[in-house]
Amino acid sequence: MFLCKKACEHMTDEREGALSGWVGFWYRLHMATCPHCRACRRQLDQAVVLSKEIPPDDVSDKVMDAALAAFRGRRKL
Amino acid sequence: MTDAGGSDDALLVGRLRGGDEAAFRDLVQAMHRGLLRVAQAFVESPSAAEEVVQETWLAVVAQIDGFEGRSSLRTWIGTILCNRAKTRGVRDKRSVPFSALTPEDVEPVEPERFGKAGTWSTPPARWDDAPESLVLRKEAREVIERELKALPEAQRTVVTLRDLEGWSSEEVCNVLEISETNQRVLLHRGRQRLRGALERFHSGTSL
Repeated sequence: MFLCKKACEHMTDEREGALSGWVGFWYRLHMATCPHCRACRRQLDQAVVLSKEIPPDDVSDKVMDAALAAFRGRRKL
Repeated sequence: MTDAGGSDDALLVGRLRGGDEAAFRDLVQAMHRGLLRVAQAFVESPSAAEEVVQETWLAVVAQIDGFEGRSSLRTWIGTILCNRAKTRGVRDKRSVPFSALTPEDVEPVEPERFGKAGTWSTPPARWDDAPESLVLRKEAREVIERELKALPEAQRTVVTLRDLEGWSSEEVCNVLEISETNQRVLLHRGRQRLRGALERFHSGTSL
């Protein structure tokens, strides 16, 4: 049987589709009956959603210029 | 970009081989943050990491005709970078296996949040699933960004590649040469730390 601490350890396994067998059974049973763990899972989901929204870093001119110069050099071959 | 043998990869590689500079520029921009993060896990300074990324792009340009599509383009480029970063790490005497970069005994959720029986003693605070206000959402995103920077190196690298850059677990495992289980543990611990930061932000307290 699963308790909250154990369920928390498997929340990413669930998202990754890596829960199976008895572990998956006890996890799902626990989640169905525990509002606190469901709240924790929602928070985890929201952290992932917000992470995906972080804008990308700009490439420095030094790196981009060197890469493009090499690319143009290749094109001339 | 796609998994090994994907048509998107084939199309992109065709454009690169044909000298399409816009496609190359987009690729450099799209992969920059992920590559820089991987490099930073192996070398000793941000400037060294940037040099490794730069060398990687030169190698990609030189070797693109040899890409056979046996892995995804992202894995192929990531592997070139990882090998170069490791070589640079050895040269800089910062040769640490990726899997050794984070202590294994850190609990993803603070143990004091649970009672002796393993049930919540301080359950997660509840808040709306998605902040309606754009300002609040931006602030929450900034909290995540700050906490991400404070994560242990290995967790930060895996979370960045998976959640910010959209790499698959297979790509992360192949490039970093870690097991699927190890990758999932690092991802879980990193995400739980971000969740904790978000929880503190919403509750306005230090739980």
